[in-house]
Amino acid sequence: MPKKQKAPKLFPPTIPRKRFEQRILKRVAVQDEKRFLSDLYRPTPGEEVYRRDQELDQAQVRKLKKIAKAVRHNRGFLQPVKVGLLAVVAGIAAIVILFFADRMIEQGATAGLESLFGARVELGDLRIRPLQPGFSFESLEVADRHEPYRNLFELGRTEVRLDLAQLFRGKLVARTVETHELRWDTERETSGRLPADRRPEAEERVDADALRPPELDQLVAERFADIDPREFVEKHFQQLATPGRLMELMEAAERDIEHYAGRAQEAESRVRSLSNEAEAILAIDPSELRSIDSVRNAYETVNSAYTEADETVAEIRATRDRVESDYERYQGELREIPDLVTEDAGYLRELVPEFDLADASAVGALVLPELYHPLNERYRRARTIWDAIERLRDDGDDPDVEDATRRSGRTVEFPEHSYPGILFEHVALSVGERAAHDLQELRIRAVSSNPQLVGEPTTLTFSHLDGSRELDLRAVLDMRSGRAAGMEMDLGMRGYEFQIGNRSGIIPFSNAAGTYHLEGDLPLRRAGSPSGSLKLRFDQLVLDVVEDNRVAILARDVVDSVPHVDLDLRFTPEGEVTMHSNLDGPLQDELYRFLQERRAEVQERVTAEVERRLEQELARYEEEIAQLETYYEDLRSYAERARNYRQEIDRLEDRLANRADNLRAELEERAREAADEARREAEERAREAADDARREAEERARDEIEDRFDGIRDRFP
Amino acid sequence: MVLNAVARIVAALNSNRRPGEVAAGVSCALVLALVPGGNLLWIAVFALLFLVKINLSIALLSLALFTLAAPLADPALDAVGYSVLTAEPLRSAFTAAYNLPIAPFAGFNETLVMGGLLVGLALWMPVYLATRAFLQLYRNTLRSKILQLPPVRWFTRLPLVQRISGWIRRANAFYQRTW
Repeated sequence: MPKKQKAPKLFPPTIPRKRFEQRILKRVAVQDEKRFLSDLYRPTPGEEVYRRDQELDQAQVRKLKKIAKAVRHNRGFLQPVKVGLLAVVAGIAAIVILFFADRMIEQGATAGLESLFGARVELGDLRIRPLQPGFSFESLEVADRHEPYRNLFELGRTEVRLDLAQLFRGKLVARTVETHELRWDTERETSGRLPADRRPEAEERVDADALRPPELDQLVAERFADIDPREFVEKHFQQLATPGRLMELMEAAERDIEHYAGRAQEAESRVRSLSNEAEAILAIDPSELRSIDSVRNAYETVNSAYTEADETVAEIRATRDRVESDYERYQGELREIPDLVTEDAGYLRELVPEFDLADASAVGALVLPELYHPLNERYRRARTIWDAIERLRDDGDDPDVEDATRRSGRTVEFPEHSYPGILFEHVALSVGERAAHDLQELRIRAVSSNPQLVGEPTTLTFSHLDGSRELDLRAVLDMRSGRAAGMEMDLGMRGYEFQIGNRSGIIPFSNAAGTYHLEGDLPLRRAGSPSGSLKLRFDQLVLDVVEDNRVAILARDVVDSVPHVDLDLRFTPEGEVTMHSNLDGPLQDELYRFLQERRAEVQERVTAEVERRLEQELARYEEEIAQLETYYEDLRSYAERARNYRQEIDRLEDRLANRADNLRAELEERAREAADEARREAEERAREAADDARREAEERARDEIEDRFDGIRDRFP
Repeated sequence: MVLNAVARIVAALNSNRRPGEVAAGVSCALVLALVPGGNLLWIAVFALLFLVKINLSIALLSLALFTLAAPLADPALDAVGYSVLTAEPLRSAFTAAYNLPIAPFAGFNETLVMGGLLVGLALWMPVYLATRAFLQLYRNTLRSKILQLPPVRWFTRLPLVQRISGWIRRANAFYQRTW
């Protein structure tokens, strides 16, 4: 059997009339359910109650439960569950804020400062001060984005008092920022560079060399720099007359040498040929020649060789004479070269620069190289802070960031105590007392995200008194529209010691020490270089110079001769720097004198160097024309040999002539003898023939006589 | 999601809830639609919806509908807002309010915000009364008559519709249990 359900407590059998009508029936919104209740509960006459007489079935109980739920819901306007939930959420939020607000604000402030300075920021132990609206922190380190291992500045314990009313109006207005320690340019152990995705967009407007010393520094550096004669001569060598003339002569000599080399070779060849021929000819032994024909033939051969030898000798002699003539000519040219060398040396001496110090401060050479680095560093830091202040500017000032989807209406402005989104009204640091000569005071006013609204420029005053050292800085950064954006800066430093050791620059010294006072007025501008002036006074300036460095010694002597050194620097907007000093006159006179001596020394060295160089060139030339002499000697030798051959041939020719004469005489003798012999033989033979003929004739005559006698006898028998 | 929203709306119209809850939801949605968003005033009114007994489903549906139409009223709202904000007698009061903490976040110095707020507040009660009257009329008379109409009866007997009405009942039960 199912359990019998009970009616809700809201619906007991008897309900007071007022309760039923006001708290139940009135809260039932559905007409059917109102009728159901009215039918179920009837008013009792004479009693101020409604009574339920009948037993409830299950359906009625279920309906009553449903109605009771609706009645409970329709009670009151607030949703107690949600209000409670909201209260719980608010409570949790309050607890979270109470415990974690410090951390959250620290992270937010760190991120904000990092985006302003573009480098890592470490905020130490930030604590919210709920009773005195504001917060405090124990330390703040802001890294220098240009030098990640150095801090731009460090703050010690700092208390920030905020304007709570403005904070609830969405503005971070710091009425006062009191810091108890300030340090600039300190070292960091970790890099202060932000990851690439967190770096601000490149706004590298800070030019590390915005304060440029270049021209003056470089000019002076060049004037003082040693001139290397070798480099100097080398640099100007092509402009000299001597090398050009030597080059011309050498080219001509080379052409002649080439020509004469050919001729000498030809002569050598001819002499060799002549030699061979002569050897063959001279082998002829005239005494062995037996016939006049052989002598004649030999004579003709020798005569021909002689003619050739004679021609060879003549040609070689002619070439030799021309070589001699050219050699003499080149030697003549060589004798003129020293005059050209003298002219060239004079020209180079004139090129050695004059050390005119009229337009340059000699003191600049001493001071500027050391001065510019720290000045540039300070200037760069000032520009970094300037950039950070500029980045504070409200983005809301830019109409382009207006939400384009927003319904467009108008904004009615009411007079208000206007504050920018971020305002540091007064930042202060004060440590120590002036009377005790130990004081550090910093006052910064009106660092804001909307200088126009604040109506005054950002000003910074900083005083530092440390024993005898005193520093006063006043800077005004006016970024209100319509004003020339820039930073006016007045700087005063007094009694600061300085020490520079082992400077090996233009004027080298092992140590420089003293104190200086500085008064400056330096308007820094957004673009370009700063303009303005700096006055520096150096007291008790002591220079320990590098031994044997005459420039340093004379600089020391001049510095020692004055009680203090005044320096007046003027920076022009174009980045030029002019510098004047009370040392300019005496130091420049001394330097001028010294530099004139240096110039004379350099000139001498340049002269020696150019002469050495030209001698080298001359030596090459002489080597070149010595070739001619060689050829001359060769040709003379060839001519001599040819002449010798010619003489020998001549002698052979004579011998052959003698031989021919001898042979002719011998032949004549032999001919005569032969003629005689022949004559004699002929005479003999004639005689014999005559005898024979006579005998024959006699015979014949006898025979004939006999015959005739026989005939006669015959006839006359 | 949509089905759930529809179920809630139907439940709100038909359940045993005060008609004032639904009427206040519609009225508040009108104010929220007329006032441009993005300011503390709008956020405060919106947060109020969650804290008081207002029918949230009806309010959100109404807000969506009114927001679509609100820009049409902008010229009128701007004129009303501007005339009020620049009214000389009120200037000192507005100046004082403007300089109060948090007040700038309310954005009341914007003509549309001020105009929307004033017009919304002016229309709040008429819209509330009209909506409540309509709802009472619907619950007492129209609902039963509508349910008796042959097309509606045919429609409600469809299996799909019966299934949906079952979901609606369950949603209604859940809704009543939860809130």
